[in-house]
Amino acid sequence: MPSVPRVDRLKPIYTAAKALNFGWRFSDFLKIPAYNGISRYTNQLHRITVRFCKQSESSVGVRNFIENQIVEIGRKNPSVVIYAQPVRNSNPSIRAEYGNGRTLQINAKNMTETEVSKDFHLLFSRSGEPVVKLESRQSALCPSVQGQWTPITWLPTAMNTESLPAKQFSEHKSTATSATEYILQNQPK
Amino acid sequence: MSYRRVASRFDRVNQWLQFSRQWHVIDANQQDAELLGDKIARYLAGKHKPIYHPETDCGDHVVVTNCKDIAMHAFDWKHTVYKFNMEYPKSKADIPAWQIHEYDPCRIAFLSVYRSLGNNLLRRRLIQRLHLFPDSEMPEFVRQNVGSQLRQVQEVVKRADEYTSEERARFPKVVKFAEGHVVDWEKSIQNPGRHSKPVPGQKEK
Repeated sequence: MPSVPRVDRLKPIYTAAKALNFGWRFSDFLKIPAYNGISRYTNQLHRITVRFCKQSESSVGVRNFIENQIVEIGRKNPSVVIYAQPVRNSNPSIRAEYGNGRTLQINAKNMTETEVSKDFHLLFSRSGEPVVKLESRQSALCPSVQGQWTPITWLPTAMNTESLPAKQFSEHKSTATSATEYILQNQPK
Repeated sequence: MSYRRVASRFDRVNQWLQFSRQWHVIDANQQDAELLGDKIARYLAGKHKPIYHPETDCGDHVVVTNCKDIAMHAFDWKHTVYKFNMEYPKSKADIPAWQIHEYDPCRIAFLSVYRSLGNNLLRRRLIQRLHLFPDSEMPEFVRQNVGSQLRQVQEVVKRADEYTSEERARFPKVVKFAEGHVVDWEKSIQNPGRHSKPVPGQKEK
């Protein structure tokens, strides 16, 4: 261990509780972290580290990715810090740290350049929240303009003045024409 | 930048209203028992509400009037057999629908709704909110509770003998009858009642 402990190594200790929750929370409600994108959008990805080996065969794709694409991506996203960290004789990985304190890591062993690029973009577009089954398909920041539904919302107002049961509310409504109606409408000669 | 409305006093009261029980009334006159059962079961379970959730107790009360005039398709009165098996020897009872209807005019409506509610634990509670009346009369407190009326599931047809002679003359002739043709629906036939086999030795009443 080095004499000065590295901050990176301490981080898993204080994010341990969050990491614990990560695995077994299978369903959640749809939410946006800190109302992101309501007025302006901030990328939730703060820094991303690509660890790779300079010589091993399994990091060929990662090395090609770094050579061809990573500079362009860094130029397009000035808010994200990108590290390329060569580590001798290691499995290549992409490690992303998000605004909510979570870290996601993808093992990039034996990946082609295209696959690495796809995963890199996936980590860029995520919010850091775990991928879960959504309890409801939609969520709203503002309550409905219509107002909440009540039993009398769609009740015909004509029922208010009549004493129920009344015949006019009871009759079955149908667009189909009965045989009797058809004969009355088209009288035979 | 999020805009969150504070729940006003009106909103709070509206929410009480949202979960209040509604009373519906429906006329079973000449309505098919199965179609009617499906519709009523839907309202008893609260499935017609946008707030419906299987774990929310949002079912409504349904009042059914004119249960004695409930209808069945074709020969279903004879061929629909309700099975009451009490799982004990000699307890098996398969009773046709017409016999049940004779015994209790509301029972067919009950059975069809109970079947339509599905085979689940909730249906015993939901069926308690069903109020059946053989004719159009109902207690005053029920009438006061009723707040909405449901449309029937079928058109109520007019019986042949209910047409006046003027209406009959105005109706276009589709078929030309022969001279002296007897029209059997000129008058409704009286129900002859159930046939009972005369027991030898029994005196005539």
